[in-house]
Amino acid sequence: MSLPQQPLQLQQQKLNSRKELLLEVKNLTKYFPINRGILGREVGRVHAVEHISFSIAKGETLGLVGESGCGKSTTGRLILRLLEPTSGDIIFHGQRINDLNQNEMRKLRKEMQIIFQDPMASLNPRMTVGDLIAEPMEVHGINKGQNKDKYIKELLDAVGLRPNHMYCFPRELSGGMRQRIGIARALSLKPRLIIADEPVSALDVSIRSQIINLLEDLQEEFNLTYLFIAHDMSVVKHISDRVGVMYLGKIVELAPKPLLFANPQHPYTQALLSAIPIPTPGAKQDHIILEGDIPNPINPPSGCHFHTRCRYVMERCRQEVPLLKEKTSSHFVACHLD
Amino acid sequence: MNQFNNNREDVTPLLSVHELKTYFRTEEGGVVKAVDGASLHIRKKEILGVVGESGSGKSITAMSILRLFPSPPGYIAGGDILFENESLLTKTPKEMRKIRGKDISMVFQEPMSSLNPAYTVGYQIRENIMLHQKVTKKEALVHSVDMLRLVGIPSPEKKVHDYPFQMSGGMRQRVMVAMALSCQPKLLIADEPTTALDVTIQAQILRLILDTRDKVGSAIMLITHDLGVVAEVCERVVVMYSGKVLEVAYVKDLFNNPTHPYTQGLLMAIPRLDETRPRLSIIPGSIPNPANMPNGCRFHPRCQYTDERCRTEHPPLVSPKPGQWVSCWRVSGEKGVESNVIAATAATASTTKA
Repeated sequence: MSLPQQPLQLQQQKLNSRKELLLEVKNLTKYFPINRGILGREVGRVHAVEHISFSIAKGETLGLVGESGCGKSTTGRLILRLLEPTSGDIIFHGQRINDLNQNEMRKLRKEMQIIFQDPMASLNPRMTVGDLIAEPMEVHGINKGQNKDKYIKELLDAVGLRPNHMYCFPRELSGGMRQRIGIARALSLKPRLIIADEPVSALDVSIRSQIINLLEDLQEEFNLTYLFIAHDMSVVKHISDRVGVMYLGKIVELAPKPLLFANPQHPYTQALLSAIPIPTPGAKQDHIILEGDIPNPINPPSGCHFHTRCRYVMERCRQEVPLLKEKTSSHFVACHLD
Repeated sequence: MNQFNNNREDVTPLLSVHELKTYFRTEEGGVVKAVDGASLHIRKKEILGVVGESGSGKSITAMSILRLFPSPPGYIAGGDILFENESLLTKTPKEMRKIRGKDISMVFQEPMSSLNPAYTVGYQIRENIMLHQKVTKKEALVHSVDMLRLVGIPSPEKKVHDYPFQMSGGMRQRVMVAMALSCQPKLLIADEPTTALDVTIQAQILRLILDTRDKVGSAIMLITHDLGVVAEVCERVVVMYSGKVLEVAYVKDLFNNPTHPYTQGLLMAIPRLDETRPRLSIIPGSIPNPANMPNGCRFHPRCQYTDERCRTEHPPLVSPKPGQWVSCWRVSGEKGVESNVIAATAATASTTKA
């Protein structure tokens, strides 16, 4: 399958001139094969992520938003190589990491950590909080012996828990506290990049703001870079510097936060933003309600994946895949509309 | 009575829940007070929002109305639920079955787990119609197709023969709404109907729920944790926390002038699309464990205004102004509100008797 390259150079030149890049993703693609029958013959492919490219500068927060099945979580897992990409390049700190072997990769993961959505499902219920936080350090053989307990207590303090929480089990803690442990685990190796995959979606409204503030404080304190994956536009708007909007495995719009929210260019972004209920009574009446459902990623629509639900659809959209192009300065849009 | 609404002629509530207490016995011999003295009412054709975080008792209140909570271990320890001036608590199970799905029906959060995977959606809608109305199979099928059309399912004549797994999440939720509306209920309880759905699909379902009220004329009790959804769809709001009602108000009043410290905190803590906040304000601490509730006001461990009285005594729900009810000592302690306490109690009492 040969699809035209996306104009990455431009985007990178711009960024390079400003800040040092920590992560670059070029034409990243992941297809999940569907095997059927006794021989396990491949009968189809789920087009989870298709030819996406973006980069994150040091200390930056890139938000990745989209609805379920758009490939945002898959992208996060591909970057850590928890899933193997079908094609494309992942360049971390100037090094292409696609071909690293398992050993090298394990060492590199010290630098890049992930926070998962559901803290109950990602913490071993039979381990104490102290053991849970120590586990990544044991895997990487750092902070052994007496130093360890002291360091764990420092970490607990950094994420807003008390030292004696070390001896608790996850079930004794609330959802918000468990998410703090997930964050402490990710922090324990002093990573440079943290991939936060829906870190606040499972939390209650009054707890959510605590965790968002914590993530912001830690970013400043430890000079962290975030890839913040979420479906909640208002959370992404709050925390990100730049935002990428995904639809059916593709990035349809990528722009600095103020540009994206003030002047969304892609019809999907416009619909997504207008669909979100705003907590001010009588604030909005001009909803763009998208008809129909998200198409099946096994057999995505031809041309622009969004054409089946787009209100501006033209003949060209059904035939030709739109490229992610820079419409105005650092505002990238994949749409045939001008 | 004009406490409730000044500009509406019809003020008799369709449903009123009065000091409801739904408790659960635990295996260790303890009691979890899931709903502990909650009062609310809903008028005909009204859309009432019930907001609260996990463990606030909002779903259990809904389940108590339809008596759907597991019993044992659950039981109603006190209070009353009046539907069209008749107590639902004294109904026999057989009488309750006649009410469920006919006068009061419910839409749940997860459509996949509330539809039977082994039957077509047409069969499941028909089942409800034939249970409550004297119609033939054929008539029921025609009615099912009409219902699917009403909720905006394309080519309903074909889709009526589909199984739930052949549909997307949004379509399944439409089927649930179609089923719930098939007997033109007077009250539709929607428990987090859009939480499991994507935002673009959520917008479709919310519009459907609004249309429903206009077309079928049902009152709607919308349970949610999303304040955006409340602002957009509801007319009045009930704010619940740890099994208690903390504030009741018209939507505009609640958002423009929140009175309870918890409501104030919640509104300040959410990130918003329509404004930029340099930093989110937080409500410290976490939601209390239902098996081990704090004494006094349930919110006092997290409240910035806590004083001695808050720690020992739960504040009564009083009405500082028409249409608004607040359970907070800061309000009930103020001058001039004392007289309203009595008025409020009288109003609730007369509602109960009416």
